[in-house]
Amino acid sequence: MRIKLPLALAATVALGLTACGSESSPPAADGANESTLKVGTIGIAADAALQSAIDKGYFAEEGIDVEVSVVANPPAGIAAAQSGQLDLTYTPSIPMLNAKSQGVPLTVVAAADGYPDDALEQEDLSQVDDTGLYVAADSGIDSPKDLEGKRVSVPARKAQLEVTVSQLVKDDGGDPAKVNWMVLDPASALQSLKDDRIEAASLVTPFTGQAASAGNTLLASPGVEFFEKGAIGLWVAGSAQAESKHDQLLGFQRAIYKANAYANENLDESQKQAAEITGLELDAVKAGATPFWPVEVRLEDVQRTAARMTALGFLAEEPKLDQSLFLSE
Amino acid sequence: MKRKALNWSLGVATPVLLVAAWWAASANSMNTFFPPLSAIMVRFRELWLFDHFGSDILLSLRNLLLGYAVATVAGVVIGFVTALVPVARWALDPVIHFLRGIPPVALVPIFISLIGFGIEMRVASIALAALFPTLIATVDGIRSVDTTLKDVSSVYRLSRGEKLAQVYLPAAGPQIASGMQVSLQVAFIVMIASEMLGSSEGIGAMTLLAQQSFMIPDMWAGILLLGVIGFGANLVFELLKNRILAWHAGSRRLANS
Repeated sequence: MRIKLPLALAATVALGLTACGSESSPPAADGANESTLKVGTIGIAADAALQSAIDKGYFAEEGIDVEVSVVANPPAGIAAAQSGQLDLTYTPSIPMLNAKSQGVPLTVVAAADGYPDDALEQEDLSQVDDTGLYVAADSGIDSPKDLEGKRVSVPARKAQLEVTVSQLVKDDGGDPAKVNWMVLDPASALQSLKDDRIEAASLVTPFTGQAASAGNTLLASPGVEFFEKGAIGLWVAGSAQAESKHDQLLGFQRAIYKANAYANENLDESQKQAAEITGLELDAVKAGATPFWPVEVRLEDVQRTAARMTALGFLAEEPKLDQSLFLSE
Repeated sequence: MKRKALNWSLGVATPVLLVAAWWAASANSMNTFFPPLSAIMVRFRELWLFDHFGSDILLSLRNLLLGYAVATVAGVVIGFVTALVPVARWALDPVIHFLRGIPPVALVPIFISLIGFGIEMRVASIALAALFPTLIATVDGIRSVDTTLKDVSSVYRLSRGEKLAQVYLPAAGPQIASGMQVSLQVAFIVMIASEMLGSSEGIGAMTLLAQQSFMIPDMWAGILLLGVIGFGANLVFELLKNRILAWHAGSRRLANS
């Protein structure tokens, strides 16, 4: 053991020293062609536009080749993008703002998914929101304020669903700090809701559909009520990559916006693609919220999200956001 | 004696020097993911000494100890039964080898569905994962007991209980202890994994949350704490093992001399 400890520490410290020595200098595409962009996704329906851009040759028209890899979750994608292992990655705006507030240098390249500007005018918000807050039919919970002191599942702490449900509770006059947040994968959340181990489950498509089919009640559509409109999912690059691969990323931006517009106009085709990507039945995809792929990211939308996160206490202070956040010509 | 002193000096000085080198090399680091060690130590003190000591550290250690205790007792008992009762061996062997091949972390969602996500789930996950190294080491230890010892115990007409407690258990002790040490490491890993779901309490949950929120010094502080606890647990185990199995070390020294 006397020998093993120094060796283990040596390895750890050597790793740390190597990393500290270089100030987030990304590897130069690992010898790959300069026109190749490594893109991280999380394998959701929003990727339909990305796949469409590949299939229809939009990226090829821009002279870029896209290599797609699936990452475990948005924070992992951001870490990979910041270190240069990926050239850009998908992330909702909330993890992106968490990262920015902690000093992670990121540049927003393009919109990935979101809500149309008239989303809140819909009579049934579940038709535009792929997230849902469900309670058991006989729970006696009638409004978000009733969630105080109750167990509410989220897929991850301090992430999108906890933030958006917290806003619902606060807007309803409750205190989000009094909610017992439970981290559960969607399948466990559904089972736990059935077994009365939790009182509410925050879910995303397709589990929202399963919750409804099981007779649970939709209490609110937290995503659209929090974000209201605009881009929510973003394509984000590490700032060093945004500089070194500026032209290629601009090409990606043009191509993905062309694909986003195409996806909105050809919803049936996009939903088929989404079904293939997610491995779901096409009917399940069609039964869920209608997806939307924005063709711009507006500063005001990101600022509104940041302001709300700060007011809820998820950000210590509101980050100063301006147009430099975005990739531009 | 001189050699022993030199080894101890190396064992203490090398980590100290490496930590000092880490401190110096990271002092001006601007890399978000590799902050200065000084910043990590500040967060270490703020988080773990003693703000989250009771709410998270003790909670994790309680789960670890409970799960590990259940695993070792069950592992030794089932190991004895499997090794000494042929019917049990034939019945249990395939099941044991099937279950030990399943990554314990993969069972966590199943445990949640079956028993919820409270302390029971965490302790059960730790216990199940840590069971097999001890169990298998116990079976191997019992099976490799010297036949002369078995013959002598028969000649002396020892009762079944006396044979188990005074012949088999001491003879298999070194192997059981090795299995228990592996079980401790497995228990430690699953302790962290089991905190990834359910309420966000415990060292593993805090560290994961810090990683996902990009609170990188907090994440490193959690990793350091896990390292310290892992090292401490192993050290305590070694000390206990050396004390309990002092006869074994003595007999090995005698055999080697």
